[in-house]
Amino acid sequence: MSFETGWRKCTWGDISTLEYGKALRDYKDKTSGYPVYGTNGLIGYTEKYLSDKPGVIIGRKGAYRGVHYSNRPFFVIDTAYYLSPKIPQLNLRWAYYSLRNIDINSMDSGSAIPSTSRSDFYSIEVDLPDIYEQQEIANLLSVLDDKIELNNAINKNLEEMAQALFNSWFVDFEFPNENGEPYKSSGGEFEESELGLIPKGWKQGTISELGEVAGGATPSKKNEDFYTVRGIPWITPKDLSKTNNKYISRGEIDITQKGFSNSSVKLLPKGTVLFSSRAPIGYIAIAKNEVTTNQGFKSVIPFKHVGSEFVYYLLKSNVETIECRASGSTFKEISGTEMKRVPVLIPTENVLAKFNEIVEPIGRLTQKCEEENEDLTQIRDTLLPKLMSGEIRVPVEQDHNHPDLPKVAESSAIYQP
Amino acid sequence: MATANIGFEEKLWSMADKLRGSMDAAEYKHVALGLLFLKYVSDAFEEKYEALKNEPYADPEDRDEYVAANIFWVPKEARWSYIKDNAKKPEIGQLIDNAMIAIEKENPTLKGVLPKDYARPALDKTRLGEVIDLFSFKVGDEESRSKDVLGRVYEYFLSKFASAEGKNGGEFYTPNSVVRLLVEMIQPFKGRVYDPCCGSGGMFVQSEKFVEEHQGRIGDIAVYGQESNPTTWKLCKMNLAIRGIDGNLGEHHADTFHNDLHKNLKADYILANPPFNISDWGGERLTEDARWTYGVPPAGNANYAWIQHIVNKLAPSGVAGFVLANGSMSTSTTAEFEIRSKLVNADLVDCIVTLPGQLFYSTQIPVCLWFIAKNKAPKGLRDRRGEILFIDARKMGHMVDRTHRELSTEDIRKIADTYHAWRGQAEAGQYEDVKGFCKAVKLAEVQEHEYILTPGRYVGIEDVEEDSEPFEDKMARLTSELAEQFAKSRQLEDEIRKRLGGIGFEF
Repeated sequence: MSFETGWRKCTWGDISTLEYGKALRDYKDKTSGYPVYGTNGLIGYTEKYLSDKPGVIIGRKGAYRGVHYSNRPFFVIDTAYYLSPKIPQLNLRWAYYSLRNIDINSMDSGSAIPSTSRSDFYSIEVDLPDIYEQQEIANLLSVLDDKIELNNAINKNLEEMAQALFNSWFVDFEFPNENGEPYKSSGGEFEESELGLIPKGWKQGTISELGEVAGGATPSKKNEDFYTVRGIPWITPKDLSKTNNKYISRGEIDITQKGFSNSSVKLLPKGTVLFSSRAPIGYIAIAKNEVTTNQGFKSVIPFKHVGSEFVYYLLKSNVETIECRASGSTFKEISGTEMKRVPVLIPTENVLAKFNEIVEPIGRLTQKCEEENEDLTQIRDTLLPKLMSGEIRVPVEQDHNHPDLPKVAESSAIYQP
Repeated sequence: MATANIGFEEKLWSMADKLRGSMDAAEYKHVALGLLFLKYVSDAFEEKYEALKNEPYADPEDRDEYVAANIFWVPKEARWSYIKDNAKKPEIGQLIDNAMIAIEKENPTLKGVLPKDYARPALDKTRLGEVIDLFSFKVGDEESRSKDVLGRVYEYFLSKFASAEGKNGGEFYTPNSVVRLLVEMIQPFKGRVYDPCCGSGGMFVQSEKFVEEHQGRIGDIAVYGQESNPTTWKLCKMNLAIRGIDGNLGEHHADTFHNDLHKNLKADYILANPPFNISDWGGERLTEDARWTYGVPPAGNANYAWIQHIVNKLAPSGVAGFVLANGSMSTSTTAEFEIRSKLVNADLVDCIVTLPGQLFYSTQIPVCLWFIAKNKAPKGLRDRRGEILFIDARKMGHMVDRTHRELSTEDIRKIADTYHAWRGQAEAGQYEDVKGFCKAVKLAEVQEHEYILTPGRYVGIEDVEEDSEPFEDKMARLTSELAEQFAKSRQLEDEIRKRLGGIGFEF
């Protein structure tokens, strides 16, 4: 592809150098200070920085070598490089996006550990727009990234809130009484049970009293026409390992109607709480639509009055209890029978309904943010190559009265997770 | 302390590493440990020799003087000074072999045990000489002996070899902290101590140490062991000899299942770390054996054969503590389930401890400790019949390097104290169930759980630590953050709209 961009053709070696990271100790346990990057991104924090400016980190060693951007001074350990501009007219955030558009992992110096050599990197060609255009391109892409990050932060907040509410109501028994006052602190009545003192009217039960426990299966892998790109969603624990999302609609691969009929796969309704029963135990997600799963799940289809959100938080806070009931030495697995028998407290329907009233809209917002992030990611990834090649041009204001040029990079807002 | 640095282990290792060339780690181990052994006996001897020289009327060449002091008599040609003087000669290999032969001849307990192949051509004599030259520090004089320098170097070497050799190495090296925990728990003060798969003898050395620490007399313990691997068996002999422990390891190496060398033994204490889950133990040839009181163990896994062998070897008041893979606590194969249920019903299982993963050198396998007691209501202790103590120690220990975990002295004390308190040992304090850590469980409850012995089932989950942030404060913080995020969100939405509009995508 060639467009009349008028951009400067050069190589990364013409405009930048790669600087080695340095060995560092004791960064893993710290949670504050300057960010520390390795070949795959953020790995910890430390007191000192290696680069006193925001910048780009490029993986040096490892099968997967990423490209990362730090919006503040940072440290890089010795498995990675950081980019140091040779010319003043290089916007580092633009450089970051430009490098994201290159398959760094296909470059390999051929030593035992896959790695990127500096000379290979320096010879990569690049079309360099002027600094103003670089800045505008970077701004467009980063506003998308910022929104993605913000959505993640919102979801984290919502999750914490719902969890706090769950704990307050169902662990500390401070759910609102008839007068809307916290039950326990306002002298609510308690009864003796095997699980200790519980609020009057609640009972001790098992998971099977909250919903139907259902397993999954795998249609024969030998049969190619059992699998398809778009068919009936079929989810494995691996799919959940790759996402932090609370809601899921499908996994990497779907199954066909034929695959469905020729196996014991079970169709689970929307709102089913998926719970991985092995490898490992305890990935949890809520199905956004009808799904099926492989045998790595013991999912709970909540009874109507119980609600998906309640079951989701209940399972989440009981992962350890469930794990303890698992058997198997090398790979622990929880069986359907054991899952059904997990002891739980069953609140009154009234309290359950109130909880769902509050938490369901929170869940809907989380779902909206997750979906928005999928769209934003797609938009960004579709635009990225076109913006870098010049196929799509961003408008650049003609008025460049920036006395403080060259501007290397701008720090954008920081959303600390 | 296994990892506490005594300063020169690393140096010693890199020195010994010089020898590594054409030989594999298993072979090289004997070369390195043999030299270490020679240096040790020689140091002890030479120190005594010097002392005797300065003593009027004493003859430094009088053999009995040494025997009386529990020091190996070392003939002239085996003394380190002699070897060192000849270190640069091409025939040094032969000289060392001769030294070994001479020591064996003078000390019958070592017969056939010491390595004697230093003369073989494959061993680089120049390097061998260099190693001897560098070996200048003392390991066997009184001061080093009191600090157990040799023990620590030995242990360090064994563990290094275990790491270097991979899986097979791990078969005979039980990590120090696990041995210490076993020993602290069953307290083998006096009596017959037996290890049916003793490897290089780590369990005994620790037991002896324990006795010493408690001012008991070494002679109070009689040591019995058996080991099937011939080289490991020799290593064990050396290991015991060096520490002056007179152990009965049988006349030769032998398979514990098929050639029990201690047929009539009833041990007061059994300590063991049987190899995990071995599948080719020849069980199909042993379907009828007196030891299988509780059922025939499956031919495909020796775990339950080990358990029953141990139960069989226990004296009427005996206590056993041993390491098994976690699967042993919950396996549901018919044969194993049957044996386990019978062991529980016979009230033999005293205590089960699950340990954290990564304790072993060569495998990440998480393991558990089984404790079997023949008499659960002995004099002086609480009647704990019909009860099993479960301890979940999975969260204990700390990482000593990237892949290895170790239990600290405090961890070990906490676990041992819990067991002792439960047994009713007054000095250990009052026993109490601790959620998430330990629970004393009636047999009926274990039966309800289908005889599954996994502690996690019984001890429950530790109470979640009270959130340091009160609910109201937390919600106030989160909602105000959310308000900001919502505002920021609208701002970003506008900006995205504007920017995408700028490249022709209005919406």
